[in-house]
Amino acid sequence: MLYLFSALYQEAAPLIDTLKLKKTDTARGIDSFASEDGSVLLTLTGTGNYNAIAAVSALFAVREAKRDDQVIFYGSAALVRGSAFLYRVREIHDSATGRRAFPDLLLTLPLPDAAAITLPRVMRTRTMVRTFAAHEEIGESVPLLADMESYGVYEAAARHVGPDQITILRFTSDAGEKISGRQMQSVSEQYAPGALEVIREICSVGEDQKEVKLSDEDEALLSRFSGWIHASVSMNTELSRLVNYANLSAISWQPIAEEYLALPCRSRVQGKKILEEFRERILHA
Amino acid sequence: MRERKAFSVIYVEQEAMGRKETEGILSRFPDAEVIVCGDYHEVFNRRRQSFSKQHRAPALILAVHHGELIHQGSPVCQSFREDCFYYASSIMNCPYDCTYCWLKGMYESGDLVVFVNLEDLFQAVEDMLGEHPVYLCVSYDTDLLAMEPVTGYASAWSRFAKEHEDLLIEIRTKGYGHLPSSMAVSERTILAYTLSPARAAEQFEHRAPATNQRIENLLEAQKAGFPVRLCFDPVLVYPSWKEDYATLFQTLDQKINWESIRDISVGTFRLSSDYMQRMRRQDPTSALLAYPYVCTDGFYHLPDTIEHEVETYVTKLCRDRVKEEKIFLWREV
Ligand code: SF4
Repeated sequence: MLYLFSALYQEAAPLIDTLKLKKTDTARGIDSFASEDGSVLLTLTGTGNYNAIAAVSALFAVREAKRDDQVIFYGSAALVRGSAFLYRVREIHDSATGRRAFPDLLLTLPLPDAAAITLPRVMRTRTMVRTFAAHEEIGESVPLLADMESYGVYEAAARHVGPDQITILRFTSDAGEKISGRQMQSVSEQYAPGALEVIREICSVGEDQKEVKLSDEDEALLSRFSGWIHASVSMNTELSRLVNYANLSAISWQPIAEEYLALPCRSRVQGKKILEEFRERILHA
Repeated sequence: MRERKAFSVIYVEQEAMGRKETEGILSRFPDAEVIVCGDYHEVFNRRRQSFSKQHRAPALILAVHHGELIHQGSPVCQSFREDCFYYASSIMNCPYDCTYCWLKGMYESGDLVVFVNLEDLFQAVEDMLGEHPVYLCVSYDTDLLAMEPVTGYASAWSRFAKEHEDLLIEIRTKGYGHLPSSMAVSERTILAYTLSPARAAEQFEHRAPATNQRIENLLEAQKAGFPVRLCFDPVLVYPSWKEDYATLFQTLDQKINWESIRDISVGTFRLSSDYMQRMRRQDPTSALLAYPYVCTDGFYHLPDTIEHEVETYVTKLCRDRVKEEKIFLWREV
């Protein structure tokens, strides 16, 4: 599942168009747009950290995030240092609290990385440069952006997903001055194709899904064996563990189980003894 | 787009900036993306990290170690009957990827932390040496030799051991390339090679050198003059373990002179229950972790009868080759 977030409709509009997202109900008080197959959900957070935290939290209160989901924020930023571009944010500095957040950078993307400072209000570039010259922990050579949501989005999302599942993409739209909605949308349209390409690539790298599943026949045999030994809950746990180990170690436990099933087992006490024998045979196979 | 390369992203604590070790490490990765952080915990201890994803190509975190630098040896570790048994952590996490590695249970992150204030560690050891001799394991939370091209710490420790009479150090390793020529040879630096049967190494000790390569490494270390310890710890139990350990000892018979081995450590699998639960969640398809271990006093171990069988079998293989007093069990039985 891909969870997209943007602060404003004008920033999100090109993604909504291209991905053919339709307005949908998710949580009360937030606007969301979903793809037809439900695999993409874009949510508007509104501007500012508090709105971002509220929207991300509200969404994940009603949608349970999974280990292979991706959370991607796409939005604008003011350029403090560097050139106008679409960036991946590698470090976020919250100007209000002095805290920092670091999304994982597991992929090399066809985008430059930047540092972002999340501000409580709009500031002009000159003021920002003065204010953040003191941030000596931000390397001098890295492009620097200012925005109003990155920290909030990251922190709220990090309660539900890992740092490897969060990506913040920011395009530079201005130098700290207010711009109109129309101007914003036009800049977003310029960067959206590149962003979508990156989003698709991020989503194509899945989690190492490791799962152990028994076949239907094995499941049936296991359940017969368990009933036959009159297994208690703890005996069942042990039996499942043994069968799991046997399967992963390519030990054929089925003929051993079948062998026992041909004999009578009248009580749980007898069943316990048989389970012990079964265990020894698996461990010495 | 590609997955990043190992150490292509390096986080540096502000306090670590400008230090000699930091500069040395950074100079080995001129193309790395360097990101300054306030405190290494901001990166290393984030919530909900994916150890396996990060560990495929880990980032490096350079930090300054504060607090207690030298720790008393843990009861589940082999002390080799040394009285003052300690361990020191100059690196957290390992570039190798062993299925059973307890670091996967201990750390949230698959990235590696390198503490760059090695001189503070040395000072702490010197303070201790003022009071009593010290036996120190320095490759405890990592494989120091595997990290040698990045840090040069194995060489630094061997130099330090050579200069301090009452200090005996152990560098436990699964080997790496050739022994660095910068390693100061001394009888006070024990190179302890962990050996597993070739099949087990291939199956469970990813990225680590193959068994034959480790044997070559240990021969090289012996030739250079280092005391060499063999570690069959943990002895790995899987369907053909007995035959495979017998084959391993036959291979060793052909390659090494048993007389020249300083000592041998034998240990069976043991892991704290918290770590085990986390590791099983991370890797539910591992047969080694799925083994029906039993849990006693918070530690998972082999069922008693099997544990006894394993210890007896492997110590017998050792006893047939070296004197009894050279064989150490992690738990004297
Ligand atoms: S070599 Fe040792 S420290 Fe490294 S992964 Fe393997 S068990 Fe862990």
